[in-house]
Order: sequence, then structure tokens, then C-alpha cells
Amino acid sequence: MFNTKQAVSRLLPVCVAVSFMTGCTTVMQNQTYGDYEQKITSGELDAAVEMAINEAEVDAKTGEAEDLLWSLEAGALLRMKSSYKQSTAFFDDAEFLMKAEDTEDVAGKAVDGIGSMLLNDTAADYEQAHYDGIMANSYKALNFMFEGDVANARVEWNRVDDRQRRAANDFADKIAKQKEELQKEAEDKNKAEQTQKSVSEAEKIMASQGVDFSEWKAYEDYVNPFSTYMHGLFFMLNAQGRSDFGKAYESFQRAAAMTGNKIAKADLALADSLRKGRKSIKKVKPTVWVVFENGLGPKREEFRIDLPVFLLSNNVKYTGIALPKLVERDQAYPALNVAGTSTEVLSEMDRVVKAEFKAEFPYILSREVARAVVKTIAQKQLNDQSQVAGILGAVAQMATTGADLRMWNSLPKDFQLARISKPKDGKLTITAEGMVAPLTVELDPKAQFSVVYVRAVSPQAAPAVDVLDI
Amino acid sequence: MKLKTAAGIALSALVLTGCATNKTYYVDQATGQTTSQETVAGLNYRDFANAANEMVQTMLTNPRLQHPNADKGAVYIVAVSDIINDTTQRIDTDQLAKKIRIDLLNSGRFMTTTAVGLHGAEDQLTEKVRQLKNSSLINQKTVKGNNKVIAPDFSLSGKIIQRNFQISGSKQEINYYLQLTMTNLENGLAYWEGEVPIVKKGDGRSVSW
Repeated sequence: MFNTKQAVSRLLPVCVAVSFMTGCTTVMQNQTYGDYEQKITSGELDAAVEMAINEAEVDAKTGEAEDLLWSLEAGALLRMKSSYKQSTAFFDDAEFLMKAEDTEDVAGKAVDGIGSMLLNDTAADYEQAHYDGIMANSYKALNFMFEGDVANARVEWNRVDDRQRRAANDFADKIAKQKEELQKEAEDKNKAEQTQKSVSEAEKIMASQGVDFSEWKAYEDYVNPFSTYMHGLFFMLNAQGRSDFGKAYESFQRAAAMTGNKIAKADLALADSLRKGRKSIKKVKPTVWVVFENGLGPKREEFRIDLPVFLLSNNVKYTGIALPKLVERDQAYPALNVAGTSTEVLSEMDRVVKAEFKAEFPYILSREVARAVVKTIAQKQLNDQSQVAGILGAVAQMATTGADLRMWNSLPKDFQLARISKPKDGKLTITAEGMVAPLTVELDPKAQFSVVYVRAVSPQAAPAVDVLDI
Repeated sequence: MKLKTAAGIALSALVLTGCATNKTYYVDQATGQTTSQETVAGLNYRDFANAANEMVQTMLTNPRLQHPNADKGAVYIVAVSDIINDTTQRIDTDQLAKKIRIDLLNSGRFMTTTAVGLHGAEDQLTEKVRQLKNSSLINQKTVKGNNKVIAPDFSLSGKIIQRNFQISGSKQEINYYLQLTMTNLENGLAYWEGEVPIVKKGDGRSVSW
């Protein structure tokens, strides 16, 4: 006679092994990203760079990175070391991989779809967020600016502009499509009733977890005001003709309207005078812009709902869904103090990331619920054949249920800005609440304009400071 | 990636994909219709060659660009100024300038100076060889003298602009404008200006670069 208890005790190690072999998605992701974050925040920049480059899977023959997400990480960290050429190379590879992802054919998408339906979203290739592309091009543009390569910086800022336009179009399409789908479903009440029931159940549980989307609001047209502002600053300071002052004016106008930042407003007024020919750029008094890239943006954490559920019966041992949620991280410093003034927030990366996550979430949720339904039905069918098979199915389902925690982890929490008159001796001292030692910066006293770029990840890690004299 | 590629190939055999629709074609500017002439989303050699040819033809028919003593073999000297790449593509604008310079030189009406440029001489040897004056190694009779280098009459400057328009979720129209100006350096007036638009339509699922 079949002894279930014996069978379970024999099979349990196998089940545990299976659960590990299938990935233990969340454990692995948490370990990797936790390790990476620890390196960045504790100031082990070289170790973090090494890790990112290893994970980026650089092909020994072509020299090109094959992992999109880690190419972005490597590019961002290499900037902090002023390794601009290497940083740009990783961002170039990332852009190439983004394009491949965008233009993936039906077969490729089908493989991603099948893989992720059987396991979880991490089985599919990482699909970039719009802000990933916008920030990759922004960082590349800054790399070129700080290398003094104005021609290539111009190309990258134009790319930023095009990506922001594409993002606005895409979100508008997405929102229209969601409305249409909701309308269709309202018309056909029987359709996907089970899924709908689960979705509303999950939303309730999420609300109890403190995830409230209603407070997450995008900047206008899902634009990142930092990139828009810096686009304006580049074209104002490197104008080759009056139309460039016009470009600067338009960008400052947009950034000022979105953020109310007083420096953006002052730059808007200046660009207006320049584009109208009321003022010559040569007559503008020597000025320093301090750009502060502060702390770390949100990260993803798993949020698991071991379901109650709709499908639960005695024939099912486990069912559940795992979703990502965004967890905010800290600023490095509240602000930087320089020459009697303080930097003020220009753009919150948190807000940019949250807005896009919110727009994407209905898709993540419906995919996960649909996946749970498929897996649970399979488990029930296995259980109908034998209890042992059912248990195996339950373990496999538990092991493969995991949220996709992949996202660009080294982006900042916010971008801040200050503008001051250029000191005659070209020396600046930057302090901040909680900063161990003040930063001293030397500017070229002969340059009319300077941009001081400070990247501080945490109070424990030494800030990276770069100077651009124009 | 490799596993995925292999699986993708296997699936491709089963799934008939409409790949042809993702290609880029020129758009006929008169009708606005997509032509059957395939191209790339960026600017390629053919785009530069055609644009240069079209522009030089209009320069040659412009009487203001004809030297008054042309019948005696006199030519105008052109210095190449900035051609700004204001697109999303990494373009070497020298490529366009070079094509135009060759066509202008071949026309017999212009010559380009490499001794004078916006950011310094394109060929610094014109200046450096004059430093051989004190070299005991060099036959001094062959050293080029001062007061010989010819100053330019015209400056060639320009800009390449790009505008992208999303037509639908999967298509985009990419407009390029190649603009050039010949400025008379005597009086600062633009004696000739030309613009060649190039319109393409292609895959809109991703960026055009």
C-alpha cells in the first residue's frame, strides 16, 4: 500500500533540491543586488565596478557587453571614477542591447513569454524602462561634455530629446490602451472573471502593505526634468548659433514649469535674453553651476502574497504570487552648501521611477496572476494523478514564484542644483550636513563658466567631484 | 542569450514573421509616399553623395559664385568652416564637406585652402615648412617664402538637422535637412545657401540610431 508519509520524507530532499535548482529567484536576486548595494554605499567603488563589469558579460572576442542592465550599472559607476571613455563604451553597448530588445522579433518575444509564463518574469531578458534609455544618453552626453567633446555631446543630448519624446508617446498609447481594455472587460462580465477577482484581491493586500499608487505622480509627459534641464544648459553654454539658445530656452522653460526650481527659472530668463539677442553670451558674468547627484533611487523588493485564493482547494498545496514593490533609499546629504548658498532639488529620480513603475504595474500584476493560475491548475492536475506529484508541483511552484527585482540600482534619489558667481581665485569649498570633510574644488580662473558635478551615493562613500571649465 | 537565440531560431521556423515591414525606405518628397528604395535610418554614403552633387550643381549655376576673371582661369578660394551635426547620429561631417570640396575642385571654379580653418589650419605643414629657413639640412632656395599663402574668398559652413515623427506605434518618419552656406568673407554676406531634405520611413519600435 502506498505510504504518503514515507514518500514525502524520501522526496523532500529532492523537492528542496529542485527548488534551489529552479533558481530560488528571490534569494539569488537579493544576494546579488544586496552585495552590490553594500559595495556602493560603503565606498568600495572599485569592487562595485569589478562586479558590474563581470556581470555585464563582456564578450572576449568582440569586447562588447551582453547584459543590458549590468552595462548600465558599469557605465554609471565608471563615470564616478571619471573613466569616461570606458563608461561611454558600456552605455553604447547598453543602447545596442536596448535596440535589440525593442526590435525583437515574434519568435524572440514568444521565447520570453513562454519562459516567463512557466517560471517568472526574470526568465525573460531585461526589458529597459524609458528612464533607463534617457539616463544612459544623459550620462553619455555628460561624459562627452566633461571630455570636451562638444560635437558628440550634442548628438547625445539630441538622443535624450528623442527618447523623451518617444516616452511621452508610449505612455499616452499605454494609458489609452488600458482604458480600452477596461472598457472591453466591463462589457464582457464573464471574461476573465477569475483573473479579475484575483487582481482586485491582490490590490487590496498591496494597499495593506502601504503601497499607495495614488500618491505617485509623473512629471509632465513622463519627462525626467534633470535631463531636460541639462539639455538646456548644454545648448546655452555651447551654443553655435541663435537656434541653440532657442533650444536652451525651450528646455529651461519645460524644466522650470515642471519643477519650479529657481535656478531653472533664472536660466530660462538668461536663455530668453540670449535667444532674442538682447544679451551676448560673452557679456554674461562668470558663473558656476553646481550639479549634485544625490543618494540612491528606489530599489525593488519582493512582496509576496501566499494566496488564500480563488482556486484553493484540498487538491492544491501551495499557490501564491510574488510582486515587486519599490522601496525608497536615502539621500547622501540633504543639500550641498557652497559660497553661502545651498543646492535645491531640481528633479526627483524617485518620482520618475515610480511613475513608470506605476504605469507598468498592471501588466506585471496580470502576468503574475495569470502565471499563478496556470501553475496552480497544473499542480491540481498533478495532484489528481498522485499526491506525491502534487507535492512536487507545489514545491516547484513555490520555488519558481518570484518577483522580478531587476532595475538600474545605482541611479540617484534626486538631482540638485545651485548657481553662483565665479570666485576670482577659482576656489570653491563645498560642505554638507553629515559630510566628513569639506570638498575643495579648483576651477580654471580664466574660464567664463564652470560646471561642478558632485556625485555622492552615501555619507560613507567619498563623493566624486568633476569640473568642466568652458 | 545563446540559449535564447537557439530557441528563437527554432521558433522562427514555425512562425512566419513579417520582417519586410521593419525595413527603412526613402519617402518621395513630392508625393509623401514611401518609395521602394531601401535605405538605412541614419545617413549613408549615398545620402552624402547625392546631397553634395545636388548642392554643387546649384552653386555652379549661381552667377555670384563665378569669379569675374574666370575666363582667365581665376578661381575662388574656399575655407571650410564648421558643419554642425545636429542629429542623433554620430556623423563625420568632414565626409560631406570632402565630397563637396572634390566636386568644387573638379568644377575648375573653386579651390579649397587647407592652410586656414576655423579651428586652425587643416594641414599645419603650410606653416611649419617655413620654419625650415634656418635648417642647414635644407636647400634654402627650396624653402617656401612668406607672403605666398592665399587667403580665402569664401567660407563654407553648414548644419545637418534631424526631426523624427512617430507615424504609428511601429513606424516613424525621419527627416534630415542638410543645409550649407557660402559666405563671402569680404562682406560677410551669404552668397549662396542650399538645403537638401532627405526623408526616410522605417521601423518605429525603437530609436533611429
